[in-house]
Amino acid sequence: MNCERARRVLWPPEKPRLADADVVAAREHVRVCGSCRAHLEIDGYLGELRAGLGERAPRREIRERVFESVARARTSSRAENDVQSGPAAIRDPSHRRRTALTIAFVAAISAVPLVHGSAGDPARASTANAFVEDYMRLAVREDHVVTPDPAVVRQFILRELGSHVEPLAEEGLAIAGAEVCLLDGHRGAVIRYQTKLGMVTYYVIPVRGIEPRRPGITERPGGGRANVVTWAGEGMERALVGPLPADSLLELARRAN
Amino acid sequence: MFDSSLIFEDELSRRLARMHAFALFMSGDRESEAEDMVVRASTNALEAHFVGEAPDRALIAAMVRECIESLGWPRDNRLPPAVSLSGLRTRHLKSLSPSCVRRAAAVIPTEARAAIWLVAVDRRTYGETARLLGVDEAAVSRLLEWRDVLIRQALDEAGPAGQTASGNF
Repeated sequence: MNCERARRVLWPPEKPRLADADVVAAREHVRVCGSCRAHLEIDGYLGELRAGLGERAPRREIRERVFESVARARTSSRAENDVQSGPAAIRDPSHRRRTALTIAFVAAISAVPLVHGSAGDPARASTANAFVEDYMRLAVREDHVVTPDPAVVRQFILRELGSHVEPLAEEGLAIAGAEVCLLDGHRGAVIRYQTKLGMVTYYVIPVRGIEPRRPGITERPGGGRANVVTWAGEGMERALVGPLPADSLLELARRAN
Repeated sequence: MFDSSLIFEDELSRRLARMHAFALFMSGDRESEAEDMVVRASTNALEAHFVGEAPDRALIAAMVRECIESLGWPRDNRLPPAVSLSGLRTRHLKSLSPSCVRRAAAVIPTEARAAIWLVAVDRRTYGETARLLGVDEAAVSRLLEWRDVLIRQALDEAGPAGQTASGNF
């Protein structure tokens, strides 16, 4: 047994191994070889360096860039290959929250021009995009706030988007919280409101150079429980989505505008 | 399909910090180069996953491959210069900052950096490391001989604290 072989046989030392003849011989070698003991000690230290060298999370921008590129690669591949079965993840209870969010996203995405730029894509690929984007949003572990306080929401959005957004303040709309969203590669914010009829979400997505547009009800093929009003201004695409009557959403949007 | 996609992104999310650390080490602490390598490796790993590779294997293999391709892989069989670490104590090593170690990595051959990371830091066996690098185990042992050069360089990079430590060798 020489030094090189002993080190190889016993590496990594913390890994359990069967004490076969090789291992016994290597251990005996290290016991009497000062050089091997020193070598293994230094390697042990390098292992400890791992914590300092890399266990902290990379900057958020890096995470976003990585997950964006993966989402793009995946969705382009999906569009090419067609998706065989969409909501398999729904069967997994651990994905319920994700799925609920995604369904809300799909509802919004199906109506909002900004987030549905690839109108010609197959419907299933669009659904896949929405799943992946929502997953990506969770994967980059964006912050969210659960608060009824508009000042906290304002501050959160300023910190996350670098933009000032005034939460809607209307009777019957109780702020429930806010979180970051990623739609079609654009990073924005969602403010959630509790109403008597259910949850209303207010999307605010900074889009450079976007043309101002007055609030308008967006008709969705097939209808559904949620109504959608979209508008644009001050460099942001905005949408209100929820179970309120379309006219009420429109009125809220006009006031916000 | 979605189940498998979620598994890949979950694995990526778990491993991203380590992939980024590996890329920083390989690039000699050059942030932007490391970031580019991680992005490319992640999408390449996804491609490998699409054709059946398990996410964990796909990610580490793609990361190593990306570094090899981006940083070059001179198979020059250079031998490390003789460096003595006798007298080195753990406290000397503990005086080193991670950024010193990463910068020091730039002075040793690319393949030696990868071997040192995979074996000493990532605690992989020589066999696994050999497979990832596409060499045999004896070659891994030879590459690991650069470890002492890395440590000496890191102590030099550390400045006065490191100099004091190396003065004790």
